[in-house]
Parts: sequence; structure tokens; C-alpha cells
Amino acid sequence: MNFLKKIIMLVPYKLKQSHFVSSFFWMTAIMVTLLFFWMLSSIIGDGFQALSWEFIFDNPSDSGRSGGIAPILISTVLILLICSLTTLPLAIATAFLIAEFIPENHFFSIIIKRSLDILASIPSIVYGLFGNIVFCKMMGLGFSILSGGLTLACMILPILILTSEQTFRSISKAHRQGSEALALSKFTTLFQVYLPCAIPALTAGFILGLGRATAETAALIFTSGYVDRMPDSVMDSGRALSIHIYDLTMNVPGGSNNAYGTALLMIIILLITNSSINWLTQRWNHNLTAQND
Amino acid sequence: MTLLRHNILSKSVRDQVLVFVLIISSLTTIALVCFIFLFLILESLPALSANEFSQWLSDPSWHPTEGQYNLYPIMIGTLAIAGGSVIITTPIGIASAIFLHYYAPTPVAIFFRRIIELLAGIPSVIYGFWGLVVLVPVIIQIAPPGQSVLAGIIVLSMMTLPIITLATETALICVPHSTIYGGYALGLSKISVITKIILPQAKPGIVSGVFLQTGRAIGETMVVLMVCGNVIQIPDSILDPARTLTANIALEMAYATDIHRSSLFVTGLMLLLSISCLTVINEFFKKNHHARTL
Amino acid sequence: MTNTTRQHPHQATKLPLTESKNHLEIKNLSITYHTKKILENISMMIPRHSITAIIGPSGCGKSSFLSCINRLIDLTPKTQFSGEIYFNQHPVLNTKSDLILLRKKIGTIFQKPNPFPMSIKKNIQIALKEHGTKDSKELDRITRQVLQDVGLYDEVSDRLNDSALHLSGGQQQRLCIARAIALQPELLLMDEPCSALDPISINIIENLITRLSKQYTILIVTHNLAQARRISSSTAVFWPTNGIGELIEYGATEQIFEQPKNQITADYIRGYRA
Repeated sequence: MNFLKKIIMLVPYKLKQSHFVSSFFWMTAIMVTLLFFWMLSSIIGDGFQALSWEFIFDNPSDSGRSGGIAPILISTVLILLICSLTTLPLAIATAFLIAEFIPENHFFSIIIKRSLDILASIPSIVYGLFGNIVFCKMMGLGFSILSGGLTLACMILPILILTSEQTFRSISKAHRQGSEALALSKFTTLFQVYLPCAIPALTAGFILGLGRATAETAALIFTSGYVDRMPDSVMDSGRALSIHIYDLTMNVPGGSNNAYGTALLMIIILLITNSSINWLTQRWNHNLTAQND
Repeated sequence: MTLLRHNILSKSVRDQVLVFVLIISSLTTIALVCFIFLFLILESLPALSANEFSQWLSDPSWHPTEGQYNLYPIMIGTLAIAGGSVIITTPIGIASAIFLHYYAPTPVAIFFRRIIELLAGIPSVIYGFWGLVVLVPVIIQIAPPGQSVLAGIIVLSMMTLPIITLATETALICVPHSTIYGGYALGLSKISVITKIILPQAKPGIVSGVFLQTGRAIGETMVVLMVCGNVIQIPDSILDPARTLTANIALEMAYATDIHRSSLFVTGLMLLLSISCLTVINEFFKKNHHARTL
Repeated sequence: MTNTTRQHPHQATKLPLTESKNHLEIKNLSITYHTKKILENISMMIPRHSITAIIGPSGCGKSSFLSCINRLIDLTPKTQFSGEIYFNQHPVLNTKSDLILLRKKIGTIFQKPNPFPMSIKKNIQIALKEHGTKDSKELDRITRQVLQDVGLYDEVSDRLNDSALHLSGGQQQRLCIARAIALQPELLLMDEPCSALDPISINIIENLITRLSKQYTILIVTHNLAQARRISSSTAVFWPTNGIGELIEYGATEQIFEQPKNQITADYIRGYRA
């Protein structure tokens, strides 16, 4: 910041008042926007040629250079399913505990918060190493969809807890007095008051977490593996979409055409998740304001 | 835990069971952190005990199969790439946030924010892919071999830009309006109000964004793995290839055994410790600032 | 009044102070926010070195009126204004007028003290530096001078480098006044400067305002009728009619409080209408 300040200090007084400064900010924004569209257009342009219904429903052949990505989609979905089945209950329980039961400055709540901060900052490759020892080696799951899903579960746990905690805090303002006035037990409060009305916001947080999980590559390389066959069970190794892109670009000469297709598919998924998060959050805010009125 | 029990008014059995279950599940979070540290340390021990500490910096080079474990060039590569991207992104990110908040007309701001959010969501492997198939060929035109520190810095900067922009923007929103009006009322120009009154107040938020972004840049694997060339050497210029700690793990984990494998866990542990340090320093800064303003 | 060409900042400082008795002239000022009118047809002539109090119930547009004079209203989106304001015979509402010079010449004190979160010294010097005083001795001299002017120097002289946020509310407000007069403005706008303060601080600030009126023209918005009566020489009463603020009476303070011409004013100052 001092750097920025010094640059601005060099600008003579009169220039500061002119449009010079404002055009500097516009230029920055335009540059960022252009870079973004350069990237997006190259992926969309080449990706459209590869993307088709056959691409989605076919098996890959010739190490993925031709054919489709059906087994890869299935593996990805299975990994995400395992990941969400493990994290959701844990995340909601932890969030409910720290939002409702423990005062914010209680040592237990501080320890959990610090742990979450650390978990959120750990690089994904370290999660990959951890998953490799614990799930693949120690628990004997080997390179499998199950190991991959569990590793991702550890990784998205902090995001899910933080978003759900915010959700619970924002409802508790509206409902806490109400349910306490009725002397409802915490059990009833959680399952009959909070969960039903928090669904949109919890879902938004959940989709955000899943988005992160879908985007993840490094944590999966040594846990779910590379195999691009159709998985028979969750104990089989399965290749996720992101690993497919990585493998096609780095290890398979001439695989970039299908990598473009897969990348475009991932961007489409991203656009869908982003807009659904926006939509759900808007609905949630709308609900909250409606309650407060 | 005794304190917890006092906070619960209701004595219903169901509630007690609920609290028990909740506490058990939140303990998972704490346990997870402990386990991650524990297992990385355990797996690193063989390599740490087999090698002298100085060997990690003074061996002739990194040839784990021949018993040479010099991490120095890889650490330099990591610092060069992460540092370069932080230096580029910080001013651009802060400028983008200022643009978003104080210069852009509303429709432009909405549009620009959408772009930043999309940039934040794009998977790192797609950044790496784009860098390899689009950006690297452009750099080859200027100076071969193309896969280089420069390519890594550019792609990593695009990837971490949203972090600093969104952090700065959040900090800008929290600056009290009364001081902004006070600044204008004294006849300060817009840019002076921004640099002298708003930015100092937003500083803690911005600093914490920079820390966050540094952590991401150091810990990022896919981008650097795909565009930096992965040659183990101290890069002479930004056009030379280099290898980072994360890429090293990703490349060698597949075939590493015994001490080699264990030495990869040592690098993992180094990453973990350095990023935890960043998190702790960040917390310290926040607390320190909080104490000063109150 | 015919002078509508754009003034270059450095030329404008050299323009002679006009000998006109009226320091500030407001003609037919109306303000619209979104589609709602908040002020209509305000006309006032404010003489040099006088204290003018603006009183009236909440929501009658008093604060918007002040923010039109220093053009801080430009920071509120979707606001339009029409009419004319002349400050030293320069048109204020002209889109091309130099806002920075204008705000340098018109000091503003806000309802809630708003010192910047930096040292006391820096609070005063930040604007001075911006407006071209570079010499550090000169800066320190002005800092001491204005702090003495507001009676704060003895209280804070040993901790000029401490954060201004550590001062009490009354001290913060005096610091804000010191910050404003450091720029040697000609006009001071005060938007309920005492409403967030305790009675002792109010007393100190009222005395300060009376002293300042020898050098500056002061326009003060207040909810405290007794205060208006104590310190001002003339008073303007704003009243919302159907939600639109109007100037219902304007004259010498004594006349307004002793023999109000308007029935609403009479009721208001006797406390019948609040």
C-alpha cells in the first residue's frame, strides 16, 4: 500500500484533480476484464468444438484423446456425493454448536475458530498427502473414490462450517426470542424452526463448498487416482474432471482438444453454481427482511 | 465443558443427547487439525532423522534417489513465483476494489464484480490449462522455453487477484462514512480522501487479504505444476523455468519410496508450517490493530 | 452574479473579497431527492461575521440545506437542486465551480464529532498539507495556533501524537473545529455541533462559537432553541409543509423569539409544536 501511496505522491497536485487518476482506475479494471475475456473466449471457442452429447455419454478411448468422459463424470459425482454425505452433518452440527450454545469468547469456541482458520488455509496438496497416509494407507482404502471423497470432505469442512454458522447467527436474531418464549427445547428449535427456514442459505453454502470440491485437483491425485474406467464401486479408483484436464494436458500429447471440452463443461458447471448461489442468497436475504418487517 | 452445561436451560434428555452429539462432531474439527500435523510429522521423521539438518540446504542438488536432498533451489523457485504474483496482484487488486467502490457507475460495478466472482470460482486446473496452451506459446514468441517463472507469476496473479480485491472491498465498505464526509468537507480531493483517509482505515482488512493471498500463492499446486517448467534450478531470470515445493510433491509422490517419500512429506510439513505461520501472524496483526483502535 | 465563467483555482484565491454586505446569498433554492422534494424556495441573505441559527423540527431539510452550501450533497446520489447560491458572489451551484476551493473556504462541523483515526496533529495537518503548506515549522505553528483558538492546546499539548480517538466527545468536536479553521475558511457550517455532547462541553463550544463569530460567518443548525437564542444574531425557521421543507420565518433572533410574525413559529418556540 505504501508503494501505491508513493506512486500517487509523485503525481503533481494539479494532475490529481484532473481525470488522470480516475482513468488510471478505469485502465486497471479494463485490463482485468480483458484478461478475463481472453481466457474465457479461448476456452469457450475451442471447447465448443469438442463438447457434444456423445462427448458426455461416451467412454474415453486412446488415453482420452478421443471418445467422451462418461466414467469421469460418474466418478466425479460419486466423489462429491461421499464428500457431502460426510461433511454436511458434521458442518451443521458444529455450526449450530458455536452459533447457539457457546458464547463467542468461550475458549472452546475460540479453539474451534482457530482450527477452522488453519484448516481453511492449508494448501490442497497437503490435504492430498494427509489423505494418502490416512485413508489410502492406514485405513487400507487404497486409491479409491472413497479416499478421494473423504479427503475432499476434510478440505471443504471449514467453508461449510463458516457459512452455516453465519446462517444460524442471522436466523437466531429473528427466531431466538420467539422459540425461547415458547420454551422450545433446543432439539425442537434446531429441527423444526432453524433447519426448515435456513434451507436456502445452507444450500447456498453447500453449493459453494461443492464448487470448491469440484475444482480441486491436487488433493485428488494421490487419493482417488487416475483410472478412467467406469467405477464398479466406491472402492474403485476413479478419475475426477479436474484430473482429466490435468492428465490430458500434461501426460497425453494431442489430448488438448478433449481437455478444452472438459474445461468448458467445468466452466458451465461453475456458471450454474454461481448463479444458483446468487439466486438462493437473494431469496434468503429477501426472506430475512420480510421477517424483520 | 462444565461451563457449557450451565448455559443450557432446558433439562430434557433429548437436548442433552443433542449437545453431546454436537460437541463430538465439533471435536472432529479440532482433531482433524491435530491429525494433519501429527501424521505429517510422523511421516517426515524418517527423512529428518536420516539427514543432517544442513543437508537440506547444502547437498549438491535434489536427487533423492541418489541421496541428495537440497531443497534450496526449490524454495527459491517457490518464493520467486509466489512473491512475484503477490507484488503484481496487491496494487492491481487494491486498485480494482477502489474502482469497484468509488469510481465505477453502478451497472459497471455490478458487471465488474460478477467478473471478479467468476475469476474466484474458476478451478485452478483450468487456469493451468489455459496458461499452458495459450499463454506459454505467447511467451515462447518472446523468449523460449516459455514454461517459466513469468508464466507462473501471470497465471497465479490472475488466480489470486479476486482474493485481494474482495478482501479490500469488504474493508472499504466498513470505513465509517462520517470520516469520508469529514475529508471532503476539508476540501480534500477524491484521491486524497481515498489514499489519506479511507485506505489507512481499511489497512487491517487489506493486510489480511494480502496474507490470505500469499498463502494461496505459496500453496497453489496445479498452476505452477503446469506452466512453470519444473526444472530444479535457481532461476536466473523470470524467463527461466523453476520448480516449487508443491509441484515437487505432485511430480514425485507417484514413484517415491522410503526416505524419498518421507522427504516429500518434509516439504509438505514445511508448506503447512509456513502457511500456519502466516495465519497466526495475520491473527496477531488483527488483534494488535483491534487493541490500538479501542 | 454575472460571473459564471469557470474560475481557475489559483486565480480564484486572488479574487478580491467583495465589499458586499452579504457574505452568502441563497435564492430560490429547492432540493429533490429521488422524486421527493425536500426543500422548496429557500431565499436567505447572510451578512458577513454573523451567527445565523437554523431551527425547525427533524426532517425539514436543514442538514440538506447546509450540504448544498458546501456541495457535500454531491456525494448523495440521485439528488437534484435548483436555484442559486452565491458565496462571495461566486455561484456555488454552478456545475463547474471548484469544489475543492469552495470546501476549503467553507468549513463544516458535523453533528457527531468525526476526527480521522490518526494522531491529533495529523488530523489538523492533513488538509493543510493537501492545500500546499509544506514547511513543517509553519505546520506546527498553525497547529498550535488553532488548538489555542479552540482552547484545546493546554489539554492536549503533551500528546499531540496520540490518536484523536482517545479524546473525549467534546474535545473531539473542538478538534474538528480546529481542523476546519486551520484552513482559514470564511464561513463555518455547523450541523447540530452540540447534540452529541454533555452540558459542560456544550457550554465550552457555545463560548467558542461566539468568539469565532468575530472572524467567521457562522451558520448553525440546532434543535436547542435556547442555544439559538443565546448565540445567534439572526434566526431562520424551517418548517415541513406536507413533507416539503420551507422557510417560514427569517429575521433577527430577538424579533423571532419575542414577536414572531408567523403563528407556527410562535407555537414552535413556545413548545406547542414539536
